[in-house]
Amino acid sequence: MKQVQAGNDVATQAANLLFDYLRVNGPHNQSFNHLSATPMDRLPSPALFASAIIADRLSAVEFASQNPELCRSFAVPLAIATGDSNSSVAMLAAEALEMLGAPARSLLPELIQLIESSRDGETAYWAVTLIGRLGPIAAPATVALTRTLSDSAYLPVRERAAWALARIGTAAASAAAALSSAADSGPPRLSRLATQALESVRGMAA
Amino acid sequence: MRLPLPFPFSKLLGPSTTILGVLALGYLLLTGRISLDSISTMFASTQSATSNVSPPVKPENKITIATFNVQNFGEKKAGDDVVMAELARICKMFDVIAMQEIRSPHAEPVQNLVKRMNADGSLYTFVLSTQIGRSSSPSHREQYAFIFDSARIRLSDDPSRTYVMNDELDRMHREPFVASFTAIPQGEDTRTPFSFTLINVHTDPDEVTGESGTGNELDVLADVYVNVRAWEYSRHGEDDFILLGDLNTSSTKLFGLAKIPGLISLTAGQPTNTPGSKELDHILLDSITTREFTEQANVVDYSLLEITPEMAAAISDHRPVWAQFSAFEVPPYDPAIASTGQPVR
Repeated sequence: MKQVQAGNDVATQAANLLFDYLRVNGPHNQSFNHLSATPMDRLPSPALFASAIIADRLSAVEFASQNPELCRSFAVPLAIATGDSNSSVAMLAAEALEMLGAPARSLLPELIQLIESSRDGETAYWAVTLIGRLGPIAAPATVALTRTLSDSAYLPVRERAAWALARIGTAAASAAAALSSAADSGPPRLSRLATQALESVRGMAA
Repeated sequence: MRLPLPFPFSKLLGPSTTILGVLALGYLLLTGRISLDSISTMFASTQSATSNVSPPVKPENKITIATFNVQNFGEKKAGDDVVMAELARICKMFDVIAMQEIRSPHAEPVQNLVKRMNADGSLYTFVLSTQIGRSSSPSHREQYAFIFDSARIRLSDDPSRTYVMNDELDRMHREPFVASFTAIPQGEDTRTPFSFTLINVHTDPDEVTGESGTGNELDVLADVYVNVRAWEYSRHGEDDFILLGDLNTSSTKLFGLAKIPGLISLTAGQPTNTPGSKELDHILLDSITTREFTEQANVVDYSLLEITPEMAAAISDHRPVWAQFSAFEVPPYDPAIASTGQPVR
């Protein structure tokens, strides 16, 4: 890379101004690290997610969308909130769930219960997704996921069920017949995901 | 608009482009349209030791391209005057912004933002994708946007060059949005202006973690990159392709994208979320072909813009990532020219 003589290029000087303005301190910038240490006392009360007052629910999911990693223990109320009649609440809840990662393992029974009670819609989609993120330790959800794969009227939920079974792997071997059926007769994406899941539950995944 | 996925013949593109570039450079040098001095100036570093927050001055011979996931950008955020004022201030630092996570069935949030950006007489405009996503609920789907300064950047006037990738097999949750642009020369410079194609994408975080060959969206994106490159090159002679957006992955886990020769993430290793804990957003380009990159790229630090952590969180959980380019075409890299300063005969 050649050096530029200082002051001999007006455009370069202008570029310097712009990039001084934009410059950050580098990869080890710590300016915002305190955000990740948001005090736990700012966490919303679980009851707020189920409040009859929209503003309460909105504030709870808004906090979760801005601090998803702090809200893993709220995975179940957030999944329920994705079906909220208020579209802003539903959107922010989905936003939080997208980024919060795997839920606490202790929530698995509640998540299974969610998909047992409703296999359609956004809530089921997110409950299945959260189960899938747990990987092999979600094996106890195999029966519920298999039923969801076969019975849900909502294609994205069936697709996610196939995906979740693949993530569980060989511990979900009992889902093989349902996966085989989906692989043979499902719409293209479901068929592809079911084929991959079949390989996974049979221990043949790449 | 959706176009069929073109066939993959672009593996031949790299060498072909290099040869064309050498021929083009030779032609420009012989005809006196370009000098080696001007090439070295284009590649020169613009680093400076000082730091300030004075209003940005956009250089005449360089353009800045950014990617920005404006978390959940819908009517609610668009109705917040303070957040919108900050968003406008941030976006005005760039010539083109590839925006993700616009969640509205309408154009109003982006329209309002652009109106604010133009309050001082600027000439920003935008192009918006359709709503994209698998959800049955429209409110969960997203739009992409390209916002650009029409005084400095021109969107291709061929409407077939602005499209959402066709995805008949539903391999991606949110199919990429593609558009082609050309820098508008400022002043009297007669060099060929930089033209480029942007591929704007927001991956699904649950679909970038699996093994290769299991539907990983990053493998699909590698196909997208190769196919868009082949399509645009064969029809329009375009050789500069920039894939940018929220990939929900670090630069060490790019799967199929990492296998494309020369493809690099310009801010590799830098966290891009607002808390500064995760690397999610990228600007990827073929470093062999897109020599217009000036070696200047970074992640915006909200604190340097005097934005409080609370306001930053209200703006987005992501920070913009930007890269600077020459406003003029630069021939692709050729080792023979680089070592001798002269083309090999």
